[in-house]
Amino acid sequence: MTVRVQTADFDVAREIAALRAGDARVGAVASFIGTVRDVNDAVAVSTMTLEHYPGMTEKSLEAIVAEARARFDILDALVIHRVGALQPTDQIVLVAVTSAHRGDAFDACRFVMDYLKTRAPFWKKEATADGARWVDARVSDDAAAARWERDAQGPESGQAT
Amino acid sequence: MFERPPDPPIIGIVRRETRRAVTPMPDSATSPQAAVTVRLVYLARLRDAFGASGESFAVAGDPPTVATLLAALRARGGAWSEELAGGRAVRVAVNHELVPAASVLAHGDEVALLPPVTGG
Repeated sequence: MTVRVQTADFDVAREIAALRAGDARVGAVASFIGTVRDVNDAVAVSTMTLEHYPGMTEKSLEAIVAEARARFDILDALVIHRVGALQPTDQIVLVAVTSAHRGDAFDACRFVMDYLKTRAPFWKKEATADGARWVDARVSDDAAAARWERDAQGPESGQAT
Repeated sequence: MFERPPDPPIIGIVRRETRRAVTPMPDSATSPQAAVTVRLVYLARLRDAFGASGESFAVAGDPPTVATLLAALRARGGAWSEELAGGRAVRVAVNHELVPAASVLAHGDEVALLPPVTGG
């Protein structure tokens, strides 16, 4: 189980090869790669800057991967998330999961991404022709993470209400 | 062999026991005897809105909690009352763990205010 936060790009083929190297139990590898789009909410984006909360970020990603391991029958998992200034088409995030069979690999990969989107402390700031703006969280992301909830205990605690 | 005492339960204890020693901070003018001094961290949109990445802050209350901290910050008015208004989705992490508003704060805690996350 590996979690990395880095400014450098990553080589998907190399990362996946390393993840499953020498493990003959692996029969399935599922991966997700998030990339920078040039348009968000109908506005052209020239640069996207990703900021995070060092210390908490790694901890929260590790907790998400541990949760995936508890829920699904997986052999290994890798999360790489980039920070800093990125351009359209750049890779942002890689989640890769190995398992004996495809079902757990697919499910665990999607689970990690859905939780990462709503729980890991990353924030995107977009540079547009009208200036820089912080990207708003999407309700659809909360709904995607909520699908995995087994109980009422969620990330809603600590609201400023 | 020594009889090893049973391990204490982990949940709810680790945060207090692993806290490093804290150098006493000067008492704030606003602090009654119950106040504790925490290190606030403002992230992303909140850092821009408050014009600072953080500050040292004396939290009053008996006990001092995340809720009393937020109320004190809101009382500053302006961007503070606006960004931390009820209904705004700000989460609070104490020493890198998301916590509910009723959480009690201690001297030296790192208290981060997090706008909704947008990674991935």
